[in-house]
Amino acid sequence: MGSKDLKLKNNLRRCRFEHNEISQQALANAVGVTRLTIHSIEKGKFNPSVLLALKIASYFDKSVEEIFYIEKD
Amino acid sequence: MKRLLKISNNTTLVLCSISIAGLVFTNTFFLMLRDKIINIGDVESFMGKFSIPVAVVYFIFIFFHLSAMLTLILQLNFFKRDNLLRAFLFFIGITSLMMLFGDFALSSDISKEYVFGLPGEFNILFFSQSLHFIFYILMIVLLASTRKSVVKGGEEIVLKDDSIFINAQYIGILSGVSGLVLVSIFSLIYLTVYPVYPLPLWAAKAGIIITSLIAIIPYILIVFYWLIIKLKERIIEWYDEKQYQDITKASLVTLIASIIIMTVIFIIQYFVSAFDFINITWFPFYIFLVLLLFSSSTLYFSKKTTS
Repeated sequence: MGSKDLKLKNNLRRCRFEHNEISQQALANAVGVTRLTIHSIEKGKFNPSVLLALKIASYFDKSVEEIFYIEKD
Repeated sequence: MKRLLKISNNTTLVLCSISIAGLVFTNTFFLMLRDKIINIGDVESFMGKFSIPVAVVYFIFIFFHLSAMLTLILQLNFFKRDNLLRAFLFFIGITSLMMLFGDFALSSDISKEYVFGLPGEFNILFFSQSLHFIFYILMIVLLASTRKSVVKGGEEIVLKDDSIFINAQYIGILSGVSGLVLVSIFSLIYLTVYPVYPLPLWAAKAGIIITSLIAIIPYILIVFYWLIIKLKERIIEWYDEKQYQDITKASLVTLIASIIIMTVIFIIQYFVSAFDFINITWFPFYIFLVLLLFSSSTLYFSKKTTS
């Protein structure tokens, strides 16, 4: 399996839902990025840095792997 | 903030309505003046009679423009969402404000040159009046469309704003396109007029500088405004990581595309003598080209990842 076939996916939308349907803007404010960045991560169009992934995971009190995972394309 | 925006919106709406009536008055005045010059009427007494009312109307125009600019900046802060109409209005509003001062200079030229026949300045004057009209009408459209949201909507807390970033790209595109068009039109006029009436080089250079300033000032102002907001933050926090990625890609596109386009122009200029005018216009052309390439590619990468 080549690295080209791998894609970073996430459960961010579900996490927001489980977290009292917190808005993208509120999450963006909490982790120090713009709303567009959160939106792009959620849509799978932008891969966050390790630091941002850790910040998001920490915000939801979960491990990074519980939110972000790799899937074969 | 919300209260200030409501006051500003209402003040702008009132001033805008008065300004539209004022525009009808100034247009009628300029049309009558044009007829007087064509029919060799008593131009001096006509201008003397209407100069004070026209000046008063122009002061109202200036107040309206300043109020509209304040409203647009307050709306940028309040809504926290990019809006093409708002960005376009910011651009056309600044241009229209600069053209108000241009109208004074054109009127003064007309009052001196009418003895030699119908001055060509009337064409620029009516173009300027059309620009004011478009701005006034679109401002009413924006104020009407955002009225409900201002009254009902709550203020959203945004720690890292992306609307200014996106709006700056819209204004960059508008500045880039209008700059390229103005520089090209100016070059074309220079090319066609020069063989018949050789313009002094200083006049050509002054013309290029003025047209370039008209096109670039809206972009400089929005970047200056963005910079004022960003001064509160550390330089490393000016962009978030996705914005960094977008501007990095956009910079690469700009570098490659600008080298290719400028090389093609250099080769054409080298072999075609008619393109010699590029010696005076290449710098503003390059600036507007880079601005257009950078802003459009940044906007493309920003929007691509969110679609």
